[in-house]
Amino acid sequence: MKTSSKLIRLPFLVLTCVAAFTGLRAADLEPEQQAKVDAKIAVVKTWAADATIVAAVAAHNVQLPADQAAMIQEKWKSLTVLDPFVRSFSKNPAGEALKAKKADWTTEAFVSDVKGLKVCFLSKPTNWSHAGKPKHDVPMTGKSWQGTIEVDESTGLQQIQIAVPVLKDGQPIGSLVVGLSLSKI
Amino acid sequence: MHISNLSFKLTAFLVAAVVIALVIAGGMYGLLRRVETENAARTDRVLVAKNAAYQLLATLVDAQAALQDTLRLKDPDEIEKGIDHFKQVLAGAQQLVKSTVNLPAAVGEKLTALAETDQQAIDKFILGENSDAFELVINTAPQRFEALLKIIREHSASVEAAAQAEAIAGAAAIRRTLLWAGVVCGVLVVVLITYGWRFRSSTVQQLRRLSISLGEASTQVASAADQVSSASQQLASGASEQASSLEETSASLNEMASMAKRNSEGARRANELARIARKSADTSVTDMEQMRVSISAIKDSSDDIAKIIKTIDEIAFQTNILALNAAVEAARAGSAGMGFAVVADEVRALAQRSAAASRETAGKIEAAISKTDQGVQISARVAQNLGEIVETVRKVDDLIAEVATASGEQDQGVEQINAAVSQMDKITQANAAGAEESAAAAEQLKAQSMALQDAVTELSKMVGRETESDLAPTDSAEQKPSQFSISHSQKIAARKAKSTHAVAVR
Repeated sequence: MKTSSKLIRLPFLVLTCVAAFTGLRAADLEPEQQAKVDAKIAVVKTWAADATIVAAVAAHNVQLPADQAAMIQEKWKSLTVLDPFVRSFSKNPAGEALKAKKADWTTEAFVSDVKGLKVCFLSKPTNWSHAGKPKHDVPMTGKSWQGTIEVDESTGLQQIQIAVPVLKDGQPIGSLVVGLSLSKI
Repeated sequence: MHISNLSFKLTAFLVAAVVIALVIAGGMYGLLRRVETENAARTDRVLVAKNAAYQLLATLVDAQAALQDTLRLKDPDEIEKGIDHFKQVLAGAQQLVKSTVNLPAAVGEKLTALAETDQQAIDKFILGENSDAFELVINTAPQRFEALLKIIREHSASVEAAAQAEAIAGAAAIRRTLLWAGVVCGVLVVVLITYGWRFRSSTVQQLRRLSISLGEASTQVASAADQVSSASQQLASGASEQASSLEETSASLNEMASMAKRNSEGARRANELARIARKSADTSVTDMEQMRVSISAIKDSSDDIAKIIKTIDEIAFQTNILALNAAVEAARAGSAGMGFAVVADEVRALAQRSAAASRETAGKIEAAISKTDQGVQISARVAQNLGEIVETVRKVDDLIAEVATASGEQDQGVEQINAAVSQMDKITQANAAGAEESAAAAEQLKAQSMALQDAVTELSKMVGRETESDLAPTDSAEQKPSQFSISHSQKIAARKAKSTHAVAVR
């Protein structure tokens, strides 16, 4: 029976070790991997150009839905991933469009409006607003953003976040952040 | 000791042995069945406990795996499905704990503690506090899982130990039972051996006496078979001679039958002729009677003619007188009456001639009547004689018919005798064949008696009769024929002498 409990613990121990190991090399990215990341950035840009997503961001920028107006970070954090309000971001048209584009190399994806508030996502992000964070601020300048290598706590796999602007008429109106699984790109 | 007694003892011995064997076999079978049943029940209990423990462990591992799989998910739909799946598996584990008999109460308590930890991890996870959730799953949940496994393992071990203790106790009980069974079997075997030895001794002695008796009997049977063979051969010879005589008798009877048949045929023909003669005689009597009647009628007619002749004579007489009177008168008339006198003369001549003719006719008629009377008398005598002849012919006819009947019956009797003789001939032939077969059977009987003697000798050797001197009664039996054989030989000799005498007489 002890063997069974050890088997249960093993994946988490491996996760911890992998996280420690990869943390040392998070800033490094091999040229070959960088080329693959660049290719995926190009793909994600097409996602950001999806008419449904663009329309949703534009509408979000024009008027925030009433149920989202009072949302603050503390309240957002208290909501579970199964909360209907949280799940509504995955089930709205933009969320459905995002889900349709999801690939096996996609670990996460969320779309923010011009203020960094959430328009849609695949899974609940930690923060309600990403305003002031590079993964939102950089795309809002019209550029793509690339984070450092990190370990997904859930899967224990290496991932890297990229962000691209959501453009309308050539102007950034929001951002699209996508997590890439380095082992699958 | 009688044969029935021996058979009864042998049967009783066999039945006792079979019953004892069956009792032992039944006892062993029952013991094995009980052991098998107890082992099966014990194995079932252990298997049930082990299986329940295994199922519970498998379910718990599935629940923990479902929890960990859920914690790796990101999609809310998949997370919701994962949580539902985890709760179902956990509910299954709780149901197993409730349904498993004799499971310690601590199992349920430990399972509840583990479920609480898992639920806390899920709560943390869905709040996005993944690190806390993983902390619970990595540190707290394994400890509680380990505690639960320990309880289950101890329970499984205790069940196994209890079953092992039962098996040890059962094995000890079986050893005791086998010991008792061995003691009982040993006693029974000793009893059977003792009884069998005594039975063997008494049976051997009985068989010795029986072999001596059989030896004597077989010798006497051989002697009797010799005598029967000889008598059968003599009987066959006599039967053959008898058959020959019967064949000759049959030939003679055939000739007698032929003669009787010819006699019968002659009698039949004589009877036919006599019948024809009697018929002719009867016809003659009838004709004679008719002739007598005719002659009587002729006589009557002659009498009538005589009367007529007499009348004619009287007329001629009167005519003559009248002619005389006429001639007298014509004479008186003279010449005038001359013619008339001539006529009267002529009439007178005619009357005279008529009278003469009537007298002559009357004489002839009287002679005819006289002859007719004689004819009537003669015909009467002839009719009487013919009647006597007819009567005689009728008697002869009856006698010939009786002779014909007797000849036919004689013919049939001879034929029956002939058939009886033929049947006697066949029977005699069959007797001869039977006698020959009896002789052959007697020879076979003799051979069988010799084989019986060999069997008796073998039986004597088998029962341990040591010397041939024990067969002394056999030798005396050969030297001294039995009363039956003497009387049988005398009967055969007498029959042969009688047969010879019969042949000589014939």
